[in-house]
Amino acid sequence: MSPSAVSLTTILAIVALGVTIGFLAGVRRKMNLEQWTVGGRGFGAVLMYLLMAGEVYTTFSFLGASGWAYSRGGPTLYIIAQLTLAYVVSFFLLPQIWEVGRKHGLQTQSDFFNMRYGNKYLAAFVCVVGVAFLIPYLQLQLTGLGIIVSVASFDGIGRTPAMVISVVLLAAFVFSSGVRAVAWISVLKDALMIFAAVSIGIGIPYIHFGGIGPMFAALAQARPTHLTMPGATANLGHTWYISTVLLTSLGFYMWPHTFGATFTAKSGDTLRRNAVVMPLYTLTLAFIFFAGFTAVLVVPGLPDGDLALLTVVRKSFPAGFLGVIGGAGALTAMVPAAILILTAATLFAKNLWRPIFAPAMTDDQVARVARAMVVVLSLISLYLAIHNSTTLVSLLLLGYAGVTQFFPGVVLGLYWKRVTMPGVFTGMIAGVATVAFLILTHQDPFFGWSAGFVALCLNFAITMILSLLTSAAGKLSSDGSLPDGTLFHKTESWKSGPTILE
Amino acid sequence: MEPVPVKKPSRVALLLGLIPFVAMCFSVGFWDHIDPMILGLPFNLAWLICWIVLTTLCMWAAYRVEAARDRKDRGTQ
Repeated sequence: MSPSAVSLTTILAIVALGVTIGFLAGVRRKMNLEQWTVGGRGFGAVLMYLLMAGEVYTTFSFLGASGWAYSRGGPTLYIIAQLTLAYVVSFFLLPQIWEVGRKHGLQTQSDFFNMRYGNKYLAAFVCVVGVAFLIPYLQLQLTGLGIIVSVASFDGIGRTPAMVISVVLLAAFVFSSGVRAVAWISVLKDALMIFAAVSIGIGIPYIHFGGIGPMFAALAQARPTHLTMPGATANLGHTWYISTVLLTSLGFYMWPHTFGATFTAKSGDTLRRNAVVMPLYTLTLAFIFFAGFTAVLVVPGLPDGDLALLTVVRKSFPAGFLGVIGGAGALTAMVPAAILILTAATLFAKNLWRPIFAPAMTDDQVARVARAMVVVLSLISLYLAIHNSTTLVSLLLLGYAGVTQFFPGVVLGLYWKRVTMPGVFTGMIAGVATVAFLILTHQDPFFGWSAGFVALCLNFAITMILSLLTSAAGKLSSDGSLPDGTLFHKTESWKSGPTILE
Repeated sequence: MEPVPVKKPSRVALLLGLIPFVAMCFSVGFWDHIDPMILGLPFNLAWLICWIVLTTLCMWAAYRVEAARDRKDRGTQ
């Protein structure tokens, strides 16, 4: 067999193994969408860990982080700080969110806003913004899959056909596996991922330089500025680093899928323990960085940094091993992509379509809308992935700039009794509008600051000032607790029975 | 419907959570250099890797503080 046939066959075998595991895990149960969005609180601790871990390691950490280490250098370090600090933030936020969720039977992020601020348009807005900014995250996974297939085929398959193949695979995967299956596949995915990271992180510097230390010494000599900030960039300095780390660590649990996963925990204490242990997971990322930095000297001059990891693997190892790494990478893109698609589609159908446009819809009809949305979202992401050449890291930063605008509404909603709906709604609109304006006019970073962080500060200021102005008329309780039952407007969207996705 | 009493984290736990933020984020100007290399790693990368582990220690301490407070609260109810 030719090298490309060997590596492609290996990738396909690994993906097939994953799908088989998923099928066996899900075979005795009906694929119940509710199982993921609600039934959640019945999720055992093990399954929850799997889902949460499955969401953390995506193509972003695999190809994106190494790609930025290759093309940008020093600024990439923000990822290590961000992931670690995100768990610190979660320690002080998630147990409380979980507690509110348990008391009020919440299933999604939209539900939280609906319950806390009693306004279905705010909840719908949260839903729209959440789904909109999940799209770049999804697009990132597809781009990653395209890169894997195209590098593993030794450039025999072009990027675009590779992405079309990937999206078909992914949609088939989502329809055949369901969420519980996806959780179990992430066991295989994470095991392969850790194996891949450690073996290439140690192996590649060893093959070319005789070790990690000599590799860094050579790199520091050849490119003295690459390893510190701003590295190979003009404007990603320390101000950018601080504002980006803050933006992304505060925003980590503001994604619709990570926020929603909070409600699946068994107890608030589980979430707190999770926050203590999970930072250690970030250590794997260091190995990916080693591989990315080695690529700077071994395969210089690539047109696209995101190709660096696989290209250097291809140059260092036999085709079979490239296939194993590619297979690990493919699962690392497909598992999170499936979670993202399912979350976005369900959210759209249940928290936007039904409450705003069709309150009389039956659960079966909601499920049909959700299923149609899986296809629509896949096609939108595919279109964007084909027509956009942004780096994987930039795509995720775009998503973060959007979803972090939920943070003031969440944290003030939990801890500040004077916060009001008009304050949060206006602040959020201003935040999202600022993000859109700064990014579309190419002003990110904005005077050295991350655009999303600038928008977040504005959002916070507007939310607090308007809340102080409007809260005099609001209903307040004196002990700092959330407002009483009169502010809770239960809607059909979260009182409904199970939604079935076959 | 009953109001939801949301328990604020204790001040000690918050301070323990602030330590990793200072070490890994705000102080970047102090540690963002290559030399001295530690175990073959550039100083900034070595510093961050070291703080991944130290963050877990900080949060473990914060966990102990919060857990002790929970036990005390339950005892007085």
